[in-house]
Amino acid sequence: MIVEWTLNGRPLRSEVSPFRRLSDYLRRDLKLLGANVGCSEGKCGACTVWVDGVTANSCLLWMGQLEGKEVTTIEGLNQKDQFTPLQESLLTCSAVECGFCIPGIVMTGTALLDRDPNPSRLEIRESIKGHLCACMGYQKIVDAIQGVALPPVSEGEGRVRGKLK
Amino acid sequence: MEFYNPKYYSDALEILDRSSDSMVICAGLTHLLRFYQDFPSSLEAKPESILHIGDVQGFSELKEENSKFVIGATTRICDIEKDPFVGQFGAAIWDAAHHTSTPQIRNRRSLGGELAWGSFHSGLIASLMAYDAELRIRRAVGDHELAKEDNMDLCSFYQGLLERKNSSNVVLKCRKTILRPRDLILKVAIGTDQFRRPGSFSFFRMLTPKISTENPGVVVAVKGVSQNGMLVNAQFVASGVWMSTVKESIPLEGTKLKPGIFFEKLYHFCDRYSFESERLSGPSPRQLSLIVFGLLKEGFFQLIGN
Repeated sequence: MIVEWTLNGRPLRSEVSPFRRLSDYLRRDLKLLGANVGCSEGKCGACTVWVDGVTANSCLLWMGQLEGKEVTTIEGLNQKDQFTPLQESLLTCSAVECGFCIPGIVMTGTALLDRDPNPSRLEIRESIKGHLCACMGYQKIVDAIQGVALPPVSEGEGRVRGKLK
Repeated sequence: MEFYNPKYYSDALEILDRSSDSMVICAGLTHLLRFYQDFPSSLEAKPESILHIGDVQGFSELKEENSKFVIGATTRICDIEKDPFVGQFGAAIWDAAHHTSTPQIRNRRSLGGELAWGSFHSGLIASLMAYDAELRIRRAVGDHELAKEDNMDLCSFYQGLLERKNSSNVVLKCRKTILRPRDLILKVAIGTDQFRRPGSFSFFRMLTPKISTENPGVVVAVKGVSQNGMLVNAQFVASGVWMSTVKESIPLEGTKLKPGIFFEKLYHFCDRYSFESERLSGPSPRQLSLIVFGLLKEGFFQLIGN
């Protein structure tokens, strides 16, 4: 089957079985190793990508479902080989332990911050419910996401990116 | 094996009508791929073709139509969660949608898939049952006959128990639906009078700690009406680890109870006599609902509430 889709901003025409999982196609065929595969059943969230701008588990997607869709992986987030503010913040807050879950968390955290630049701690916790961190580093991960959140706008002030100290 | 991915409803119906009974219909695939790790090779009877209806236009809308609130079959769970009408009037449905699995899965899973899979742990199914939701289904028939559309109560959609075995031979018990091959769930409709009636309220709660992303333990959904601080009627649906569902509807004229504290009391009551020590023991959903209604009638909640 020919699937016409967009990956990280580049239009692709892939000849692939419609039943091939996206996570397998990304990792084995395209050698994009950013999305990790932990459980293969949508529980760990390590393989999270964006499909048309919303987060999805790439292990629960068939290539056949991606016709006409726009997929973004973690490789598509930092195209200039620079860390995104969230990745910087994860490092600053020492939130990266083994790092296996981090690509998925970056995708989810970035999507959350795009949607709501100033999420509450509860909203951050809610948004990362679909991620398992085997190192149990959740507290620091929440700190890191909150670290890039924009502070609430007060009267007469512009918004500036703030970091949690 | 063929894979069909139609964009238009008419195309989907055409494919359905000319295909064989071994066709599998899917939208989000989050149940199938999660359960069957190497789907479809893990299945004993392999499908000849797969129809993906997740991208069919006009099949995923939430709208008010002829005094019903209609949710299309391929509506994503996240869209139910974001809908302002559900948020304002259908607290139990909103809450159940919000607690379904994980945010990533809610972004992909369709309502039709959730209903067709028939998990006993589905909070959405319990909540929709509490609201007496109706389903519209397109029934496939034999050659040279036109397909028919049927309306039915969500409770009568489920008949019996279905055991699904995954590739590792783990058995999952689900509700068995009346769906036959090539049948298609079109939409779910809920009477809007229930939402807008003065004093109407609804709740959804998980009564036991969440066991896994797909298993929130025991779920209960309650819909009722209270007037002048008195609970007039309530409908209770409980479902969960006991692999059964109970729907009880009791008029509660004269039971003095503030709806706001109803579930807090129920929660603490269940917590106190709770199932936490042994998650598979405890009262059955039927016993639980009878206990709750008995306590309501006896004014138990009012006593401990004040």
